[in-house]
Amino acid sequence: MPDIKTMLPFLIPLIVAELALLGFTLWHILTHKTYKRGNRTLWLIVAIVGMEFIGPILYFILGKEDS
Amino acid sequence: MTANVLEINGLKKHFGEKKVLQGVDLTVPEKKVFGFVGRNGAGKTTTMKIILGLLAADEGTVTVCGEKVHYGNTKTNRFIGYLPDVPEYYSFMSPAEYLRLCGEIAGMNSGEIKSRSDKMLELVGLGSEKRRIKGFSRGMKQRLGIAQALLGRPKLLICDEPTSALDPMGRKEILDVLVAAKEETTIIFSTHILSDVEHICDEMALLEGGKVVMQGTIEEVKQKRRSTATELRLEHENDTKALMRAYTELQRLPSGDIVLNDPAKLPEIMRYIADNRMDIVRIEKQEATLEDIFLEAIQKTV
Amino acid sequence: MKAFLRKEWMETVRTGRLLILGIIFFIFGLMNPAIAKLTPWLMETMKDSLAESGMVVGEVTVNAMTSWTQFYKNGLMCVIVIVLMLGGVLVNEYMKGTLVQVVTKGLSRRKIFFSKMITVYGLWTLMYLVYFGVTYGYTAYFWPEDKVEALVFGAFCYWLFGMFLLAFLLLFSAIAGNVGQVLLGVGAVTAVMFFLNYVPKLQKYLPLRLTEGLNLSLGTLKTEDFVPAVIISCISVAACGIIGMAVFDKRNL
Repeated sequence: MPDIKTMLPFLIPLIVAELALLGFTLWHILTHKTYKRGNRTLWLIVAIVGMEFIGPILYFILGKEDS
Repeated sequence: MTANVLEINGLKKHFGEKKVLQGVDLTVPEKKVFGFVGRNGAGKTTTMKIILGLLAADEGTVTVCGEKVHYGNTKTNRFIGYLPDVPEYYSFMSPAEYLRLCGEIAGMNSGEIKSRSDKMLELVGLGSEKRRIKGFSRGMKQRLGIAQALLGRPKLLICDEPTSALDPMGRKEILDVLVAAKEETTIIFSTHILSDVEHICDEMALLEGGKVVMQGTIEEVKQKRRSTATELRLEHENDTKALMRAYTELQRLPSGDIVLNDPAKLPEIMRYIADNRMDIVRIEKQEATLEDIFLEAIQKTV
Repeated sequence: MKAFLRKEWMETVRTGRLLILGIIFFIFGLMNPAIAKLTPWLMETMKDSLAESGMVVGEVTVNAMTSWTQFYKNGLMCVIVIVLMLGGVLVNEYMKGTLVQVVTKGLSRRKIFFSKMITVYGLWTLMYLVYFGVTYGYTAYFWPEDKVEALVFGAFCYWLFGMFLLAFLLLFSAIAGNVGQVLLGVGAVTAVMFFLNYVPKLQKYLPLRLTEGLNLSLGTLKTEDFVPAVIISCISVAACGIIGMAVFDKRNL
């Protein structure tokens, strides 16, 4: 592992961004009762398992209701 | 310049094999509530969409306030306020924001939009509603639809089945709002609920089989049947049969009532009943409801 | 039209679309220099297993170029994400029937379509700038002495490639009835391009060439090699706009 200090400029914003994305996704899933397809449990699992960005993207494209 | 807000001449439209409109003629005078009645699928929505330039007609012309309607980008829509059967809005907006969008699109200035939108929201009872449209019930959406339609002071308000999907309370609210709006504008509304028409309309037209089969004021339409028919009910089945045999012009309804269409014959029949000592349950002059008139008119065209 | 554009912006912000895209493109932009920075370490840890399979890993040097290589590699991901996220930009409005009221209020269909164009292109441009900006910033910070040739033009080409696909997205939005059809259409255009790319004579003209900005920096391709593709893409964007508008004028809402 390279010096942790050189990686910090990446790590900090990356963590912040991913947490923000995950947080927003979870908030959206939990404040909606119905989804285009799937159910709440499914989307929570998808969002958390694929948390680096794939999970939230999948949710917003496939699961989010239009209104 | 005519006093008719809307004139339709020889309107025809087909979807594939199905001929929906087969020559519709209609005129709507100013400052009236005009009921546009017909069964589901009779072509009411199609006619309205053609008036709004949302559908192209195959044949015929539509004139709104003296100007011809063109399909696609029609200028006549500036005269019209439209309430679709299932109004849908941008759910991320609040009612006031939505009305602002509508007003700006219609080219109103911002001061006018503000005062007019407050007034309209007040009228439909959404004045204090700050929530976004997302959480609105069907009735609230319908009322917002009326506010939106009336925003630009249209000369003509077109409502497509405004009451059909609502519960009785919601229906009454909408009808009240429409009656209030009558002061300012001409209203056309389509419906298959006849009691609504009887309650608030001045004039009406019946669309059936792709044509307007009846048009006039409510009184005129009712007049067509009033005082011509008499309904009679006898106590005993045997008497009924005997009477039917004696006077072949009598008709029997499925309910068992006897109907006489020719009032001149009435005294003679009454004498016959008296002579034969038949028991009468009731006898009454038929007060035709719109329902009866429509059923009759529809049967003729089928 | 200003009012409708404001509605589009409000929608982009309030539905969270802007936030999601912003974060995703930020992460994508961040990954490029991060992966470049991590490459030596990754090589180091895999050295033994690679040696077993007979590969000898020499000294790996990373520089700004490594980061920009990643930039072009991941560009396609960005295009895919934006296409997926914007696939319903027009179609969802038909399906809900929200445009009916806007049209009957007197907004012309051309203005609606034009507003959608501005929204789609604007959002892509903004997001691409985030992606480019983050990669650029970090790369310049870590390898300040490295000079990379033709960076801006190469990046511009990739941006234009995105515009090209989004133009088709808008065109198919005017024709199609649901999101699936729109995405299928854009997918088909892409597939046809990949297929035609096997014909060497055509390569120069295909917008796919625009994704090869890396070769520009490496010097294997020259600016002239991109000109036909740039011209064709611009024409396509304009043509899609005009045809889309004409179709949208006549379509059933």
